[in-house]
Amino acid sequence: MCERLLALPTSSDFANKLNRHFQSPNLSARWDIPETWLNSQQSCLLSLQALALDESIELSAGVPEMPRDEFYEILILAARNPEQRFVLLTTEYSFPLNFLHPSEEKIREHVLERLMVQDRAVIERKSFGAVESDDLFLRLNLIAIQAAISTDLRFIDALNYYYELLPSSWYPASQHPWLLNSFLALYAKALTPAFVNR
Amino acid sequence: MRVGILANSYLSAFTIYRQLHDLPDCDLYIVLSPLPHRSPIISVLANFARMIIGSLSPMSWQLSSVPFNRRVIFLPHTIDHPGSVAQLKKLQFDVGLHKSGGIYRKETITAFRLGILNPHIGLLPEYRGRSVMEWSLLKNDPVGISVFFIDTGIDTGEQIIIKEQVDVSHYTSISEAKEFLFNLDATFFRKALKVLNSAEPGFQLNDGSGHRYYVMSKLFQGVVQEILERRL
Repeated sequence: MCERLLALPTSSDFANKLNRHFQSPNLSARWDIPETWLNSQQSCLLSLQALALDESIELSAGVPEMPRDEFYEILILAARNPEQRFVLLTTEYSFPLNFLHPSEEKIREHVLERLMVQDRAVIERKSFGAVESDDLFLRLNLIAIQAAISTDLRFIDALNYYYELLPSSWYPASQHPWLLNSFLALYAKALTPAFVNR
Repeated sequence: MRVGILANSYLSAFTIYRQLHDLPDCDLYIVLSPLPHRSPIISVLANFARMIIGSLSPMSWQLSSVPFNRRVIFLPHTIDHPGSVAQLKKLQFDVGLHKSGGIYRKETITAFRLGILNPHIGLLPEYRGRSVMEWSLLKNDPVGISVFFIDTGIDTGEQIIIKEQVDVSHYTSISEAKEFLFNLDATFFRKALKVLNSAEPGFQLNDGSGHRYYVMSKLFQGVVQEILERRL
């Protein structure tokens, strides 16, 4: 896993930092699962980078952008619009660990289902190039976060499946290709026993 | 009870027919429809050829004459096509037996008085979706089959007519164990039809309390394979 991560292109500052970090990853680092909704002072994407690098994130108490049923319905409506879904998810999860909150169960199931049914079918029939990769890897980052804390093996196996499906020489040609690097880093953490403070 | 075996291939439907034709109070038919991506004409011709070959094989005259005694119905369109739905309604089936490759729209399901039965190789409501035999083994849960009336969701139909544990411990590979379970479809259809023909047919509720499972990674399949080998 780490070897594959280290072999990825380091075309951004984050990818470079992650590469250096994973030369000797800090596996004793821990996440604390939030008991309440928290807002990050930085964007979802920067927070994901911080989580992958085991860096701290400045947080404040907050509330979700909208009622959970409403967000779920909007997410369903955006199921065939990856650009819109990317914006929805990054806006809602400025602190990505909020994805672990009990209120997000239906949303986690929906994200998992889309990855393992519709996206998987398209990728297997065509290629990774046939799906919008920023949206795909953002959702895989979120599922990796869930997999790290969950005893529900469906989440870690979704990561296993995509890891097996992903050609080792392929790299996204998108706005945020580093989401593949962070996905592999978070997957590595999910595979590390007792990574999370439960 | 009028029962239609819904299939795309005559041979797969006939496998079911052969094991159910002697059920009392059961008027059994084979309903063949083309697959969505296949030309209807090619589908009919292929099935007709299979019927002719099948009728020449050594078996009782009663069975080999199935194609010629109006027990086989060809639908010219896919099963969900409005023309097919209209034809199914005219045929006034009580129950459909799912043996085709697709999933059904609501209009098709409601063309059957009671619905369409599906033999699912997992114990509902816990195990919905794909690779459920493997997931059951991985989680050290019993393996089994549930026959339920389908709805338009994935293994979410509310009425489970019968569910039973099935022992697969005598198989050392995932594919063999799965094939064994799939080949029990006629046995379980028979049990379910007996329940439906009984004086007071009851059902268990598929309450959605389980999870939907997905196709399993090679990594976890390897673990399941080891579990099967260790059990033997």
